[in-house]
Amino acid sequence: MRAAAGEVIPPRTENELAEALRAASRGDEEGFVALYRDLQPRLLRYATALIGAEAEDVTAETWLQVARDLRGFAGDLDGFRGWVSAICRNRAMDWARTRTRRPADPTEMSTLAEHPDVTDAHGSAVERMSTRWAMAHILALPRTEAEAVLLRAVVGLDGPTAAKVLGKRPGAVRVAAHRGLKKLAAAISDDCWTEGERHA
Amino acid sequence: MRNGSRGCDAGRPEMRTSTPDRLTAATIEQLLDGGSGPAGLTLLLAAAAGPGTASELAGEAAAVAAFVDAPRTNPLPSAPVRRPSMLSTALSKILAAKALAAVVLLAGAGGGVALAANASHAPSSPTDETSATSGTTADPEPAADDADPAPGSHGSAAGGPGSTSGPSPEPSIAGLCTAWAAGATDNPGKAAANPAFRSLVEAAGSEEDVAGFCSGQEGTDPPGRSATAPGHTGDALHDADDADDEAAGEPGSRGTPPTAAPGKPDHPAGRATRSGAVEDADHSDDDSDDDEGSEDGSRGGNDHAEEARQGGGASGDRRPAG
Repeated sequence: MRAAAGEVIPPRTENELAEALRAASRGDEEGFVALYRDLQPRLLRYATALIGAEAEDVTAETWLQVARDLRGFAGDLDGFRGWVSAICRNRAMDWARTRTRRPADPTEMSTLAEHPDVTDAHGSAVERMSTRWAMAHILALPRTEAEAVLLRAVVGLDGPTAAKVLGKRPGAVRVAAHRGLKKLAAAISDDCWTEGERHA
Repeated sequence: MRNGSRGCDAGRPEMRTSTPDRLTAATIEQLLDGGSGPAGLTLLLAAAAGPGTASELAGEAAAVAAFVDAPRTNPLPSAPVRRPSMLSTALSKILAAKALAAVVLLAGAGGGVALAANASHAPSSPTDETSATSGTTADPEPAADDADPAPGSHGSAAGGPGSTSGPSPEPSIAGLCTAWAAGATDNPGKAAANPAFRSLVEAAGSEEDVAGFCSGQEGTDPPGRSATAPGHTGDALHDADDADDEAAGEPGSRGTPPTAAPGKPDHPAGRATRSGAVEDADHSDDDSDDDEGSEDGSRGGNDHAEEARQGGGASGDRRPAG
């Protein structure tokens, strides 16, 4: 689960992260770093569905606001993720408005998907490729479904929190997520993973 | 080639082994919650949520630097330690702020003027007094509308509550007492930690003495109290601020030595407004989607402060003529 150069941050347990959140809300830098490393990759993937190639800028802005307002944060870990996701979504909407660019431009999705480090034959490349492969499928979904799937299954929000972030009723988000997963299931039934699974 | 295990580009419809029909709603919910389901979907979601790479974490240094540099907007560093529930802390903070705002709103005509005068008359530690009092009035100032019913009465507005009853801090103390009582009922100990009450606590001598001090103050409600019209807001903000500025800016006209430099009270007030707004943004962020609005609100507040400052200067110029 880590890159050859040790670049991939080992995942932390939820308990460690909850402790990190408490520490960070008291101003502890290490706590903040732990939260960032845990959430940022998945937040970036979510932002990619919203704004495409500018996701990195959007998440950078998001974390600046989080850094500014985190002290005294009073929620739990789920609340924190929902809060950060909501900021991220607002920032992405701002970007979309100011750039008059359609969020999740298909060309940008394919850029992301076609960018695997094919010169690297190590396990890390496989790892990265699998993430890109999965994201390519998710980003090919209609926007509302992609958002619902990403917030629920990738960012890790529960249904009500995801609905809050999206500003929709929980039922609507549930429907979107279910549709998205069904489409994903159909899509990957044509895909290599199914084949690998059969051979395994 | 490593690609053998993932010929992802090869579409093979004949190899379909899982169909959407096999996905029950329960299975989907399980998958969405991070559980397992059909192998393909489970793998896909796990891969999508996979660990971050260095490139995904490229912004870490900037984010951490921002966190380290972030102002400590929470003036109650000990509150989370003393209080078991941080949620209730946040709620009580909001409630206390609302109670305080409501009370100062009722605190009578010329509330802002009287408080500004209070600040400049404070005999001890002018800096602390000024910032504490300004913090108290930063938000509710729009309510002090009746202080200045007509532009021509700038002088009387500033001279009335400001200089004649200048040395008396009753309006603010009475308001603070009510707010203190509200806060104390709500959450004992909460009010004590609020810097807005610092002047009250100092006036009473100690936290424990506040209740007694306040009960002693109850009979001395300021006459202006009943003259307030709490419904009025907004339009008169600038007028009220004008009077405010004049009260603070022309202490010489009252023959009292300036304990705070003219204009100085503005700056702590501005800071208080800003940090208050940041806190508001904090809370509405908790409610997810509102952070944009709050940010705009804080910017608007600062703009108002700027305008008010300019307005104060302008009215100061025309006051000798009127």
